[in-house]
Amino acid sequence: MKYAKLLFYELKKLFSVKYVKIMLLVFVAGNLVFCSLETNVAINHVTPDKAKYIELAIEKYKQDPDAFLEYRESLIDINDQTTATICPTGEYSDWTLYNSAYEYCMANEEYHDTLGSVIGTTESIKSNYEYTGETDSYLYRYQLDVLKHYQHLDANVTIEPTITRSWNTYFKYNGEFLFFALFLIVCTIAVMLGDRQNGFYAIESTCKNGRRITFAAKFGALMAVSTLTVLIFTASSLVAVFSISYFASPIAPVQSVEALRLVPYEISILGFFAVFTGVKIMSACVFSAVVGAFCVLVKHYAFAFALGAGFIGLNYYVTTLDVLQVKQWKYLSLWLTCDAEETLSRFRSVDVFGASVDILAVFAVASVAILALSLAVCLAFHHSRNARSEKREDIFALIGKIKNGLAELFAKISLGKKKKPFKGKTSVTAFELAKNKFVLISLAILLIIKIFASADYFMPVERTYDRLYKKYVSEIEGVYSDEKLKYIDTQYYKCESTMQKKNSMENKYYLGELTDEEFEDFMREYNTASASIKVLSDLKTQARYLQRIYKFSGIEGAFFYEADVLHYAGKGVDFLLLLFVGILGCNAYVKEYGKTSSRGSISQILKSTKKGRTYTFARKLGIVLAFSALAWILFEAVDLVFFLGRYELPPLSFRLVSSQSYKNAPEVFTLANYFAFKTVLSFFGTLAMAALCFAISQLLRDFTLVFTTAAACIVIPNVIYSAGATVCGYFDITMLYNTDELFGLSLGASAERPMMWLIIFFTFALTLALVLCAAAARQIKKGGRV
Amino acid sequence: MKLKINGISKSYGRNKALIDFSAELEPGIYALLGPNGSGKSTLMNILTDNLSADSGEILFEENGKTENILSMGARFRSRLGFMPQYPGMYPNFSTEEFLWYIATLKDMGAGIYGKEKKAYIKSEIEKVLSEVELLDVAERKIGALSGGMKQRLCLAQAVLGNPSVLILDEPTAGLDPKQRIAVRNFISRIAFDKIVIIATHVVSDIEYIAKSVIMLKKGVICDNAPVGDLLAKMQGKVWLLPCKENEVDFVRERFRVVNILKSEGGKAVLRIISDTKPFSEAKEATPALEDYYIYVFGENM
Repeated sequence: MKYAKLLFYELKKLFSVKYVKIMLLVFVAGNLVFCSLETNVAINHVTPDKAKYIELAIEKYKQDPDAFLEYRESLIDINDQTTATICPTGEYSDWTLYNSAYEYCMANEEYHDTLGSVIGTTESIKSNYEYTGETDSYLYRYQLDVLKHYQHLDANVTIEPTITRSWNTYFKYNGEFLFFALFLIVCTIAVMLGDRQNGFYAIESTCKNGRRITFAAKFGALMAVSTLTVLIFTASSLVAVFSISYFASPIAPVQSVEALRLVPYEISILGFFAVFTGVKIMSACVFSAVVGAFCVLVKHYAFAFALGAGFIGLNYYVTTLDVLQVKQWKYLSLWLTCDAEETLSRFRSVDVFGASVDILAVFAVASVAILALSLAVCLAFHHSRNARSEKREDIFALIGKIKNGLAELFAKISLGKKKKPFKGKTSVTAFELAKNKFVLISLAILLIIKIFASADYFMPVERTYDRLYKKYVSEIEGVYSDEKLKYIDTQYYKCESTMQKKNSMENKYYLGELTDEEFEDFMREYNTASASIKVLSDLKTQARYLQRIYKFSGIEGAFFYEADVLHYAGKGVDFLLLLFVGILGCNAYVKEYGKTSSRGSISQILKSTKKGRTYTFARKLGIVLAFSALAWILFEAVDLVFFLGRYELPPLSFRLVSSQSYKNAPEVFTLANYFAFKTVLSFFGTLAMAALCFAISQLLRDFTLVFTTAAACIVIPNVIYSAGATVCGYFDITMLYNTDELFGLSLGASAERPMMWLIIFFTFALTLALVLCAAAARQIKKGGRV
Repeated sequence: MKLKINGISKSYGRNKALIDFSAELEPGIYALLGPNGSGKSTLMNILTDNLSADSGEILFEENGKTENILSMGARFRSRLGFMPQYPGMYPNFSTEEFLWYIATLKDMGAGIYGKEKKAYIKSEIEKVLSEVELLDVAERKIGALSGGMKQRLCLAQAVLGNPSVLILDEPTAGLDPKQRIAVRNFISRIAFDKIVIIATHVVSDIEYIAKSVIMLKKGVICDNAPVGDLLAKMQGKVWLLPCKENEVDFVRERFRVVNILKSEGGKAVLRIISDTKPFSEAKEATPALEDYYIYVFGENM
């Protein structure tokens, strides 16, 4: 009862905070908008109106399948896309309706064919393991599980013709996690650190029920909020999808949804939806529990926010890992557990000491373990105390002794010299730098992480295709000529001939006309030829492309090994740099308005002094821009060092349009001046982002509002864009740094004016940064004036 | 030098925090007296341009020239020292470092350069630290200072640079009696050529040093006069009544009792505020400012 009451009060405290409700509305609206965009651009999405007619077509199939198929064939044969016998208004032709209906009518057949293929392949692999005697291994047991599930489904599941396109769209949408994770960071910090922030903790911790049980209640409140949050976001996604698309009955088997054909359970769409929602709720609970533990350990809102954001980043990073390296453990990333298509759409199991354990079971156990650990951390560390002052002999005293010992050691090593008397500074800039001591430490830490990340990204992956491509291109590198095309054709012909000889060589070998060595030599040649033919085919395509651009534009394109250059250009968003720039900019004024104690903020004193307004503003902005520039230079230098050390650059005088990836690029660009152009843009773009964060810091002032606004504006469009919603690329502020992506988007937007979008975007972003900085400067100059 | 405050009003939604506040201030100490929520801090923040007024203006007059403080901007702030009611400071700065920062923000030593400037600032900081008895903790981090020390440091940053206008919001909050007296005497010493505005609801802080007392009640000035004039109004209204202890409640139900002094033998002496003699045994007492405060604000007692 006591616990329930405390939990109730924690929830009440949380929802009495205005910005929490604002953030919820903003993120729900964001999710609604992006899910709607995804729904609109989804292939073949079905509106309620269209669904009505498709169902009529399906009825025709049910009445007489043969007649249906015959009529459909006839439409295809004569390419009749205009006849409309089902839709009286003619809005949907029979071609459209019959083809859509066909997809749903054939779903059952297609499903069982797929299952047959899966079962067949699995049987074959299983037999291999039995043949080699490797039956005591995870992989063998995995095959058995696959067979068990899919044979059962093959025997028991029938897919009726049902329009499930909207459910397909819903389950393919994976944008919720980021939205609700950011919102949960806000809530977790408010719940765990809010009392410290507003000074109430001093009173709370002296009450009988103000410590462990209160933190247990806080933990419970987080679980309740996480559950509620997921339900709200799930509802918003459903509203987004089904307000645009046709609502299909959820009682059909889940396998009738195209994206979920291989779900290994005999369950309805509704049942699957319930399971998926349950998984999302568990993921949200785990996420907020971990962030809650961070809050309790660091007891500082900025660090807690950074750790929370970093945890989102870590989960996202895991999704990018190769499943061959990390096996199915990758699917335990919280980001992926909230992605039905990635994680739940087929049978997945994890190798647990050789046993094949269903991934859902592993997820459930791991989640409970993490929740329990997080709760233990919250209860153990919520109240900081000097362990030495207490006569305790338990683990906490030991931890306290270790902590104090390390602190003393650190003090001796780094500050062991006599404390230097303060010499006196008379520069506001010097004091602003002193306030930002953490910046250099953060930069150093992020730089170390960057070195590892860059080393990993620029690790050359030697694939056969790349090796062969490099080999052939080195022979023909340079400006296109007909001789080079002839060379490609000759090599292609040679490979083709070798491949054509395979059957006859095999026969000769079986007849004993070839020795083992001779046959092996031939097979080596054959394998090389079959790998090379793909490369040569691509080179022929490239040659024809270079011919064409010369013919129509007079541009002398060149053959060169593109992959390395594209790999460097396509390195994407450097979230480490963004994190640094974002925190640097956002913290600039937040720390002045934030309460340094239960008493108040420094801002009132600052703003009442002669140099405390625009003078300090200008210096702060200067420091933010200077450190952002320094970070950009260091991070780019790291990338360049690894790239140049491990890859080869082609001659930079080659025209950029030589690469089909840049076919719409302005003709004047060479590789050299493209790289220079994009580098300069990226530099100024990074400074623009820093200025935007800085302006938000002064305009919004409140820590949580500033950081979540910046995070939402910077991260969300990028992630949704990366997930496939191209339209979000036009709002993705990370393009200011990731100029290659912006360049590509711009080239694709308009063939006549390929640079138009880039110019518009950059001009708008720089103008916005200037306008917001000006507004912030005006606000601080005018002080209390409205 | 004058500070003219003309018709300043401020509301927070439906709550009127300040209503048509006007006053003309010359060098000396002005006490802003009033209970919690009377508008003192609102006025302080408007004077320092940390808050906007809904109407009215504040003019600074010096050497025959009058200007609006908002249009003066940084020039006015270079003459200003402000101690807010709930100050925040940088816990990782040392005391001395913090004052150097304030000195830099206030542009102290403008016109002096190099080592001379540093020497000047250093001496001013040491002087001010000595005045507030924080010289021996100059190198200590602010986060390690006690509440009272932080309060005195906040006062030190306000007076640093010899500002012409000094605005102190509850300057003695959190200080022990000895420190309160020290701060009071310090303010009194430095105030001769400054306009000092002290917002407080602790009467004893300003009773003996204030040139004039401005009484604020629910955002409205109910009085603005020297202490002597206010005390004169209380002549014949303050009484001492000896009685038995068991009669105290009876008296309290009928009159405003400012003080109860209990003595041996179950007796007490009550200090009563009343326009007329409350009982025949009551004797007229010399009024104090606290009596006037209770007379104006203590209607619910």
